[in-house]
Amino acid sequence: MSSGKYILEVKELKKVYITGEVETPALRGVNLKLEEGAFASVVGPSGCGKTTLLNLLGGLDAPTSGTITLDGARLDQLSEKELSRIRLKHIGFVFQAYNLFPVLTALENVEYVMMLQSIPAGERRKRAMELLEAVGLAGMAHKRPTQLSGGQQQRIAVARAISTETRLVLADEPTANLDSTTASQLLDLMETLNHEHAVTFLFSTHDPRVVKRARRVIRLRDGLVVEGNSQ
Amino acid sequence: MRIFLAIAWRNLWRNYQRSLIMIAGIAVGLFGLLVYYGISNGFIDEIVETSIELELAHLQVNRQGYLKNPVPGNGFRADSVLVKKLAAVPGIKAASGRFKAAVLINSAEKSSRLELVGVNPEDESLVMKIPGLIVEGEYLKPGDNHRIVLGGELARLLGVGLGDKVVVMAQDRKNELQSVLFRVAGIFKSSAPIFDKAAAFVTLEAIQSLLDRRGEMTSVLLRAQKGADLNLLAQNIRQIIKDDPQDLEVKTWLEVSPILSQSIDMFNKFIWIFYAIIYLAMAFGVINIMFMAVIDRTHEIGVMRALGTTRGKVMLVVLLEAAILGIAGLIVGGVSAGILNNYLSTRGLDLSYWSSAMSFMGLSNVIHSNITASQWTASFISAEGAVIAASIWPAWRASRLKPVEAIQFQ
Repeated sequence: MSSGKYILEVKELKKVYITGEVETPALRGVNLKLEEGAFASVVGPSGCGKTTLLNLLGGLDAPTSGTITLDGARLDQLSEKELSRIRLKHIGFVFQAYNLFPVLTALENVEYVMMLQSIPAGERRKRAMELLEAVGLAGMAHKRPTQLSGGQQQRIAVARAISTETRLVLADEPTANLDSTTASQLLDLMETLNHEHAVTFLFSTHDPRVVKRARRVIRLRDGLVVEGNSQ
Repeated sequence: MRIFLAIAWRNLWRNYQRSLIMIAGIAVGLFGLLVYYGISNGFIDEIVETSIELELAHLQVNRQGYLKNPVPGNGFRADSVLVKKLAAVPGIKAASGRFKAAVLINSAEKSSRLELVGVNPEDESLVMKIPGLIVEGEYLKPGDNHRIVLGGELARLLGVGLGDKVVVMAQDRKNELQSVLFRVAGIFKSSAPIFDKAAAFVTLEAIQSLLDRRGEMTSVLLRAQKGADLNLLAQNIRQIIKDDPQDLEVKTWLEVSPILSQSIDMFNKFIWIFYAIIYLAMAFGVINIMFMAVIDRTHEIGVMRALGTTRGKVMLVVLLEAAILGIAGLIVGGVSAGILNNYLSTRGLDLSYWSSAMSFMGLSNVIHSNITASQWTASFISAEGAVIAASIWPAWRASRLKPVEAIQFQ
């Protein structure tokens, strides 16, 4: 549930991709505020800048201009090392292609971020099992991703995304590779985690059935927010 | 760390063919290096052993200046008391006094210049190898003052055999020409035909009498116990001879023969050149394969970075992969080399096809491989170091991948 306080503030965010002499503006001045505990979707046609926006908000890329403030920290001013630390501690990612590590088991994939944070082995194993139970996959702990369905992999990705003190989960088209039933189940899971763990979810999609599940919708067109830029 | 080790280990088997190629490359490199090392050591050991056992012994006591100018006038007065005293030094197995001089030897057919060596036959048998190399007749016995032992090549040159007469001529103390008749008592054959052509042995008394140098020696040769520290022995012997007014000095075989010392040094330097070539070849293979592995996993590396993995840890994963492959390659190469070296050290490497060249170099036809424990260790450590060093560049490039670009890489 939203707390009323903003976790994310974006002002005049621009991103221009330069390829040779060609400049392609992906974001043209996005303004956005996102409350803590929000369960929001970013929607728009292909090429409108959804993925670019999520990459910038997650500190994976640097803006051409504008500001991004996450929990009071100006992401646009941080070094690569500091961004890496922010991603490790505060941001969780769920990708369209699941992106689990194929050589690690489900349990190890969920443990991965906790391991990066030097959480003791016993504690992280316990937490990882709890998360797998929360996503309904405790019985798959020792299976590798190739032994799991798309839906199962995506649930493990969600478990991984909230495995530590995650404040914000960014999900880029998380249901794109799932059938409608599995997609619905995944969204149920994300909503439950949003309620129970007070984690802010921001996911991109162009599936109207998924949009309906969001409590807030931010519409992007041609690199600008045309609707829902603040709550 | 454990999870990075798990990732590195499991990544290796995602493309097991590539991993096996890298292991094979490292194994072959190390195998070649160790076998070459072993044979090279074998050559050096053979050269050293031949030199020590035929001419140098482990240590020599001479008068200062003798080695620079080895003439009878630079000998010293000595008797069996000194020889026994030196033989009793802890670490010394035996000692033998000698008198050496350049003489002319004449048979009925030919003449030849050579180094005549006067020895105490009993002491000589304990220190040097010649008495054990007799192929015809017998070695000298105490009191055989008119008998001579010749090298096979010399006997052939002079056209003499057992029992034949030779006349030895030399200048005595007063520079007057003296001559003595000897009968050939024995003929020896060593692994060094050059030596066989230029050496002959008589009793110490015989040469002292010929040159009017009774009671004198030019050297005392010392054989050390196996494994003894020659430098330490030399130090101890120095204490014994320091008060002798004749300015005696003691030297190890390396110090006595700077040419031999240089030859050994040259061989050892060559091994470093060989190391460098092998490691360079290995490095290029490792760099290539690790770069391919990084490219294959670009997307995954992007995800790792997105999740907060530092650049350092990305490098660590790549380096761990290379290190594990390195260790696997070293085990395979090391075991293979160990088996071959073991065979070559016991049965030897038969080079009789090149027997003429081997004889010319004073070597036997069979070389026994030999690698010390420290050489094994150094080879393993340096090879693994080379593998890791070669993977630093691919690892660094992996760590520099931009997360957003790497994630989108297909």
